[in-house]
Amino acid sequence: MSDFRISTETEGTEAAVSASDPREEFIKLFTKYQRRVFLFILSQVPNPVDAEEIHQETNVIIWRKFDRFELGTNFLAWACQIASYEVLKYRERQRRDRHLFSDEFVRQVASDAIEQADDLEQRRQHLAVCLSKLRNEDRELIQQRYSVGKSGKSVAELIGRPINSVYQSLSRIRRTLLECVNRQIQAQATP
Amino acid sequence: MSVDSLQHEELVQLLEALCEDRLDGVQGARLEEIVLGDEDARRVYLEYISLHGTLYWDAARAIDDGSELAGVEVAAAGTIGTLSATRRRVLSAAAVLTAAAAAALLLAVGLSWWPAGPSGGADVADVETSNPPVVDSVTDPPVAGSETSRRQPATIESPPARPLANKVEKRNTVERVVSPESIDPDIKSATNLRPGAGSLDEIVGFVDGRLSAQWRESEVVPSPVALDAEWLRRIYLDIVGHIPPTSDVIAFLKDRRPEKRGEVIDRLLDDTDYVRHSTTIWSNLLVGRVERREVNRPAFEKFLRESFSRNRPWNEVVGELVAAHGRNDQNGATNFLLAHLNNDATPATAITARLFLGTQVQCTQCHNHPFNNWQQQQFHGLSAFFKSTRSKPVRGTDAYALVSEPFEEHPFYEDRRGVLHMAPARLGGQRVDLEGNEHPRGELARLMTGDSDPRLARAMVNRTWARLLGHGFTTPVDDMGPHNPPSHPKVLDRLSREFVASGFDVKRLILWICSTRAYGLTSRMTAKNRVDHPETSQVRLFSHVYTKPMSVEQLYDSLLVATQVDRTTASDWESVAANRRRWRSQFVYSFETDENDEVVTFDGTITQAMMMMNGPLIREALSQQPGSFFHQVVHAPGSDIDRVKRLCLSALGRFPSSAEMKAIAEMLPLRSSAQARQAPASGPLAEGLQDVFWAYLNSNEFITVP
Repeated sequence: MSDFRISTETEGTEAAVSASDPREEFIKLFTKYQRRVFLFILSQVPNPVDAEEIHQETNVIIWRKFDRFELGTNFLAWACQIASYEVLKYRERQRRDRHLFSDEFVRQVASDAIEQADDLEQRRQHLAVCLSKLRNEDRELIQQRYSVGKSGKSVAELIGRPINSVYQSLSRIRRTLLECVNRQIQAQATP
Repeated sequence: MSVDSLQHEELVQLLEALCEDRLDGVQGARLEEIVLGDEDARRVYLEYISLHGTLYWDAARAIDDGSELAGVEVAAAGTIGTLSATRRRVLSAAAVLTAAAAAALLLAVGLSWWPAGPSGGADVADVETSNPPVVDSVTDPPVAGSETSRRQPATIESPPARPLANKVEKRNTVERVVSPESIDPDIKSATNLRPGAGSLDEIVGFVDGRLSAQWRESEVVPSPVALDAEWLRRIYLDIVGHIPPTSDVIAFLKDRRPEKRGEVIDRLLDDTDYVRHSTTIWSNLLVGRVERREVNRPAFEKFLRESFSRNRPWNEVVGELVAAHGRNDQNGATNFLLAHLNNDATPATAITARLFLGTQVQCTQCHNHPFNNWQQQQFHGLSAFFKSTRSKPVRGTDAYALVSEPFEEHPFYEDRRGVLHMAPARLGGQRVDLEGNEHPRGELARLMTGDSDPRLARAMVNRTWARLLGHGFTTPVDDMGPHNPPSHPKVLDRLSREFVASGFDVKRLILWICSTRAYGLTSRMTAKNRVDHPETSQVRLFSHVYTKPMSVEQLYDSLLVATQVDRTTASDWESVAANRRRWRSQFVYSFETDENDEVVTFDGTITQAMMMMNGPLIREALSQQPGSFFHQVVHAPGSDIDRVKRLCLSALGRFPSSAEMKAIAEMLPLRSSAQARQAPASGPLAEGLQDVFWAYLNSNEFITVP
């Protein structure tokens, strides 16, 4: 088995968390929602490197505003608000003609992303199972593709396969994973 | 899902480009348009991005785990193995079980089926996966004409006999004055086609005799005769383009008469699906799968359909294609050339030579091929016939017309040394004076399809043989020049002669080849013919049938048969064809090259099959909705084992092997017959059966012509 793991911890509701030390609580929430905030940003700024940068800035703000957060309220919604603002700032910094997506698109996607946050989280958990079902070769390829600083292109160079064939394989594997997740969700839904 | 499948495919392709950071502005705008326009598309967008982001996030975290947030982060980094207890409860036990069942089954299917070639286990399913084995382009099964097998094959039979001088002279009287290189070596090396008129037994006996002789010489023992199920699947896919329906499989397996195979061949050749399949094959070859503005595909397919349905002589059909003129909606045959007139009709010249004459001239357009000094002249000689042909839009309609302008003067071409040559029209060794000719292509058609040029018949025989046996007498199948001698010259000659004698009867040609001993063998190799492996050997012995990947169309049509979706879809030619075209368009890409190349990303491997199988077609087949095939199976009377058998028969045209049955019995909560008779399968069992069917449809065996 590879190093490539999808965390499958389930997230309890905020209420379930015992409030011993507010600071500790906050760290827990912060940690728990790191990925989901990142995914929220990524849906609007689809380049992961840019999204990570925005995420870092978002984190700084979240920490700075720590005392304004009321424990027991929805942390994710609060964090996403901050992230939305950072996405906006990022888009303003960028030259207009470099925007891939329009403001309207970003707004719409952001609101959908919040609405579907729980579904997406559930899908993520199924993904762990689906990854384990991949063929070894496929899992390795996906792992290589997603290791730090890599892209489909650089992996193709690394393993000496034609770039289009690597793109094709990656596409196939991602589709397989997506469909596998769909199947899992469906299996769960039909008792 | 309300996003229609075509848009869904486009969306996924755009998302794939997005994931690999190669989406340009235009594509970005298109993506935005789709996503904003449809709620379902937005959901797919978010699901995809979320998948991409999760992979990115978790891969990155797995490596620099706990860098900034050491203690805290560790808690979050669970592993696949440590599914939380909550999660386990949610997940039905059946889902876990049946995923494993599908894996075990695929393993069983994979192992029980693939021939163990010298290249080892590349084709064998992976134990760890419940997804089907994925074969990347690197390890693909060989496809006829693939680049790797392009080396010149060693001749085994005696080399082609030098023809008698007088035959050559007779054909080349016009050319006497020119240098010897200009005499067409293709014609020289090809035995003149003396008329043949053998009976079926004589012809098949001759072919069997030649092949057996070669097996002995090569110290190879042919594979055993194919089992009925394998043979039936092969003949259906080859002649009518889809797998046999369950009822035909059962009837055939029960039939004990020795003549039953011959009867099936006859019956299938008279089936309307023979017409449809032949039309598909030839429209793909002649105008390609990519849509072109100038091509009226329905009209073209109608022309082909009528030709195959009346079994018109092949030379007549080709003559009509080459000489066609008029509007493309009124005369379907015009569409062949209309598809290839760009670029000074270079593609038209190349494809005419390749498909009808088995000669590759396109690479010699600008320079002489070392082997084929004559070819540059050949190319320009042939292209001269097309020089005055034009495509003209018909005003007020979206039709195009193929017209010929009067031939004015002989074109010139410049050779590599910069010397200008006149390029008189010529075919083979024959030079033709086209001055003042109002219809040069009519002259070309006459020459190509007449008695003097054996190449039309030889090219068709070689292509048909390759289509049925998995490899031609030459590789590539359409490069039959003197530099690339055929593996079985005598068989090729005899079949070509008989084909001419039969009046270019395409059905009869298929009948002969399908009746040979070689065609009836299993595709599995044995220890005694392992050398005859298309991947490792340059020698073609036909001591077993070489497996072929299904074409996109064969797969589509077979899926309809397996899942019985065909019973509910439209039945007229046009709408069936249109559905199929729409579905396959996702796999076809065109390259803007001089030769109008296109690529089908579907290469017959399970990988592409997966892509399409996870689409709406399969989802429908697996649905438990009343009316679906799966629903019928679940509710049909009989035991659970009967249900498994029905699924297997439907998908693979055979009964489950004992290894498969064992794997399934271990994994699925199969009930006793008494219980099963009382209630339809439901719950975990129904899901398990779904997985079994899915696994069968996704197996290598399903997408291969055995």
